[in-house]
Amino acid sequence: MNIIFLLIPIAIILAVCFVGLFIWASKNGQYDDLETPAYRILIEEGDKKHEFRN
Amino acid sequence: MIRPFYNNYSVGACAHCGLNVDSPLFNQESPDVLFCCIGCKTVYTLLQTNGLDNFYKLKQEWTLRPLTNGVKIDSEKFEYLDSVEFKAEYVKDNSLDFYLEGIHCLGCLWLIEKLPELCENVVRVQLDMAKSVAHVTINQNGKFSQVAEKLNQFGYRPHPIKDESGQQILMKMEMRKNLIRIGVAGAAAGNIMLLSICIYAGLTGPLSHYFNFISLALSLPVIFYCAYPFYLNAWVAMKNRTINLDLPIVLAIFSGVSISIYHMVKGSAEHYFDSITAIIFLLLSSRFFFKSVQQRGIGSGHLTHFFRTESLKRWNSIKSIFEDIHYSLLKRDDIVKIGEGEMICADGIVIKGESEVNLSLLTGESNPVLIKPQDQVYSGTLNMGEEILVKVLATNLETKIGSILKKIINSNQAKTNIENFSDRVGKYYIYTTFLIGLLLVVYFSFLKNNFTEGFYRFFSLILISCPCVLGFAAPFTLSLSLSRAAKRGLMIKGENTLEKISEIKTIVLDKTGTLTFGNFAVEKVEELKQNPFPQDFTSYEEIITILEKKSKHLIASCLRSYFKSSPTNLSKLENIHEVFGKGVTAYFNNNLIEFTQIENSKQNYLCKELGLFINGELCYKVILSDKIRPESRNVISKLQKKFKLFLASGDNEHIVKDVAEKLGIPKDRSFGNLSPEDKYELLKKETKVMMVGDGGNDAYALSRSHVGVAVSGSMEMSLSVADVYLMNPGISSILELITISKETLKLVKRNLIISVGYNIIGGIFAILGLVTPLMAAVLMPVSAFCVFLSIVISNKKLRTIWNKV
Repeated sequence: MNIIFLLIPIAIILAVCFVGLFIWASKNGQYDDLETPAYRILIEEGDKKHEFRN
Repeated sequence: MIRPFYNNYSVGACAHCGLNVDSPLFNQESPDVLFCCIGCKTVYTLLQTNGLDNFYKLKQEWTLRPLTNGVKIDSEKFEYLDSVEFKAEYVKDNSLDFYLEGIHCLGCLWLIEKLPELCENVVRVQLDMAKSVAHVTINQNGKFSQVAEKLNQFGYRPHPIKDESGQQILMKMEMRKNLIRIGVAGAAAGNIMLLSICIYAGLTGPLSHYFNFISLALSLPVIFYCAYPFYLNAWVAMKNRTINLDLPIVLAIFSGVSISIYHMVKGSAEHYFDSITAIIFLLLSSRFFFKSVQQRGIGSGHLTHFFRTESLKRWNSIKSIFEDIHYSLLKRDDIVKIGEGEMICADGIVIKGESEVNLSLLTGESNPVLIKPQDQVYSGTLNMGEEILVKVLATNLETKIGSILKKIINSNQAKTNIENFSDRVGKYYIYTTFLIGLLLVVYFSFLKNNFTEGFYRFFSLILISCPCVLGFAAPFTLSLSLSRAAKRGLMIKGENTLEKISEIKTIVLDKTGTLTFGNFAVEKVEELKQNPFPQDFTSYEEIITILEKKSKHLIASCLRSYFKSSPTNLSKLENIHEVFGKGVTAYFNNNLIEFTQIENSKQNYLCKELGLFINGELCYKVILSDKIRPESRNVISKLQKKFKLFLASGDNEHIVKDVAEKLGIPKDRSFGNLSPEDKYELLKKETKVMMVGDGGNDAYALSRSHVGVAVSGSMEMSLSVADVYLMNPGISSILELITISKETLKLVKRNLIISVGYNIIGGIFAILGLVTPLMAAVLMPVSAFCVFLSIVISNKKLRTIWNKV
């Protein structure tokens, strides 16, 4: 069971990393608009893109 | 011949906006495709020719909110967007934010974010659907005027907004901070819970101390960082010598932490870090969701303007020309040109030109007023006649309408001081708990000489009766109802609004735009004499269309949209002359043709009779009226059973009485000729008034009433002060609104009873010493779960409303 003394700090360091990422994302404004991205993902990226670009 | 009046039944749905169409416009190529207006047809054709028909597929599947009007495309000029003066104020890093009208479905999102492919030099467009704000970035060669024109062509009328005002940045930062707090608290609570399970399962020995130590370490950021808002609120309450829910929460946190540390030092495994962090996480999240629901939809606080067009023509004395500028750049003593049908953008004095202005926005009066040089004109009024030149005396907040706006802003601030709903419920409860707890400590330490036992019982009591469930039960129930109501087109803002709606005793209704459609429409047409010129004009309709073609009078545009035939022989009519406030005259083969108001006709103001005279003989009659919305009568008769109903309008007394009679409102409860202040006076006489209105003249009353309801199509100003905004036109949703409020409050009460009942029973056990602090901590989530279940199950009446399509 002694391995737990090592495993738990590792787990916590991992958790801290994720919390850090979350804080970074929040400060970056990733969560400012919680509605639109949910819809944006439903739109298919068609091939039409290239038609307009010429 | 009497033409059938089409408006009561519809032919089909508009291919673009999906509105039911009564007099459709057809597409030449495919006759099955109908349109409600030229705007929709233009957009449809534009999309089809650009290969963007995917829009309709997306729209069909994902319409989020109903579009209440067809597309209106105004030929607006956007050159002012490119001026240096404007760019300095509004543009940052080649980016500009536009507020877009008419965003309503996934198709809109798709189309708008496709702009970089359709429009040259556009780098990126990002749309925030909740706010209807598009963030547009262009490259060095790009012009915002081109972007705006494209958006306008698609039927999304763009309004540039300043990047962000100070208050808004603060709000955004606050939301971000709260989100981080929730994230940190959630992560900590989850990890601590995992560790605590071992302790609950009976782990002892050095490993348990190790776990306890880690739990303590993990809870530190929660206690010191995440819980900060509670400390702040509790401190504010203490400074004001009052009590709020945050105070016992803070007390529970502090005592929980200190007891846990005490146990750790003593070598016992018992600790409460898991409950403390979980409670903080739950409370923070429920408050966050509550806040974000509140801010949605109605929170367009940056839209404090009330002009239809942002662009106006200002005299540039250096270049000697009129140049397009944005209204916010206007200064005192500037000279502006205001054309036909344009809104006057500032208070000022007419220096050239004679015209008519419509003051309905300011006063509610529907009949236009004549103006001539040296007359004063006011911002927010509509120039209905010829072009005028105005010397600006006051702009923005210094104008007459701005002063109303200022009053409203002030009264809105006063409103936020009303006590928080759950704070008030919890107050007596908190006092009682504290008192009993203190008595326990005193009793045990002095009479039994056992301070530890006293403190234990006190702590169990505080923990078990910590009104945390009380704290989130009410806001959570309310916020769930608010977000569901928002999906049904009822935007409710403010924590107390639902509670206030259920207290309503009186309802004051505005007339124009609320009970009626708010504009004149052709009711019926009578042909009194055969057309004397059948060979030149196919019909009278054609004559009228030609006569009214150039006029920008409101009535002219409604006539044009009714007689949709396209004129062929424009040149045949000569000397077309418009007499303001009267009508139009013209000559045809030396015959005098007049199209004017019929004098001595029964002008009861609710309807207008126009006649086409040929050489003085009445040949053709058009009857116009501002029609009462079909559902108004039904809703009013239902409302009158429960509430005292008033009709208050700034419009002419006759019109108001007439409408009141038709709707079955008693004459002594309908008032006309009311100024904004009069409306407020009327409200003051009654108790618990719900004010329903739309115009600028209602805004003051809306802000001062117990509950202000702005109906669809309201001015921005009314929106910003109203407590509720109905997105569906008319007043039919009011009944639903009242039911939702009453039932939601019942639900809140039920949940409060559950949590208070639990607290009382638990509290008694704690006083008797039957509950250890640990058990109290375990019981807390159980009560929270009960309340949560009760919220989800809801009740029958609410379920039927939510399930209604």
